[in-house]
Amino acid sequence: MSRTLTRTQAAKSSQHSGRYVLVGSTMRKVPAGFVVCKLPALAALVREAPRNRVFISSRRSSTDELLKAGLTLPRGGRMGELLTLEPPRPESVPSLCGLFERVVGATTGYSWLPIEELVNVVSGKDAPDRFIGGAADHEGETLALVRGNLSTLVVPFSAFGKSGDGTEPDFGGLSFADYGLTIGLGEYEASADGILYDFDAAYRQRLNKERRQGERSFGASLRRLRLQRGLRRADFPGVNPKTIARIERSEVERPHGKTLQTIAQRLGVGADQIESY
Amino acid sequence: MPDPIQLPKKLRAQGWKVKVYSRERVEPPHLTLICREKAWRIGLRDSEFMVPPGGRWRDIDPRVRAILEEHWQTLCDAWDEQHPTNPVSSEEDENDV
Repeated sequence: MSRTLTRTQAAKSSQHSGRYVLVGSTMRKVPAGFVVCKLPALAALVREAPRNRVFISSRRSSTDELLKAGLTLPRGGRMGELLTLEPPRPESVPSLCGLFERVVGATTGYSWLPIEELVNVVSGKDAPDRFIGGAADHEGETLALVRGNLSTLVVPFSAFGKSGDGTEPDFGGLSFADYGLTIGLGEYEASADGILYDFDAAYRQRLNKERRQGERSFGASLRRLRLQRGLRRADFPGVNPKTIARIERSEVERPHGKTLQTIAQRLGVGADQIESY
Repeated sequence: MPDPIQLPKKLRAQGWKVKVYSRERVEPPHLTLICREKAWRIGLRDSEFMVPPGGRWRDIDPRVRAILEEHWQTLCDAWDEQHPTNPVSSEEDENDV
């Protein structure tokens, strides 16, 4: 159920069904689980907000109002999580961090999904598998990618190699689209799935669990990882390509000793990590 | 890269999009078909839905399917261009070595 609350309604209602509160937005149609809160109703809503509530603030002014509303909480009270789509006043950030369990988007430089898509992603079942926004650190050469559950995944620029047609990622052109499935870096596009697969071991393990039993062998993992690294079977010095082929087809037992070490080293992972791919 | 094939306006308005990403989880060559928050990955060598997330052709608007079939080679070329180390055209045969 979604709805817009006026001050009277917020004051009268003792139980708001929405886990997500959209503040400072003119959106009328929101997914189930969302409440669109008008600013006058904010203080009443905040006082009864459960700590697992997620506030999404569209504007700097609405974040200021949230901060004021937070001051009406009993001493030491906290307010769940806050996502600010427009950076708050820098001076207000320490206070926001004191009031909220987590604050995301508190600095300049973030790009976000269009809000109509963002609200669907954060309240969706697969929220952690999609990216709602992020920011590029050109000096540190990293991307901070915010997932739909508001956790952040940090990925080095080096993870985005030049594509086969020569298109280079433009980290200044960071954008998000397709309900969090696509990360745009100028003309260059990366799939959220590909990034999560490479940088979140739990995601990778979950996906691999869903594959057929026959694809879970050491050989299948080796083949996947080899292709991921863009290597040919002949690219393992000291190991015959035919041996690699036999291992991949599970025609021989899992390699060990020097062979295993050579393969792992060439793939750039630990020998015990190959099977997780 | 820009979407490899442009779907008609009506289908785009319904949220349909076809993608060949520059940066992908490396698996057999495939396209990603998107309709709003849903996505499917379809193998370019066998036209099969890849697992996960799986799917069936009956989930796909027949007009989209017809366009994919019509432009299949364009999509294969787009993949090959983006991922020359894992081309559609030269499937690494399990018995090639």
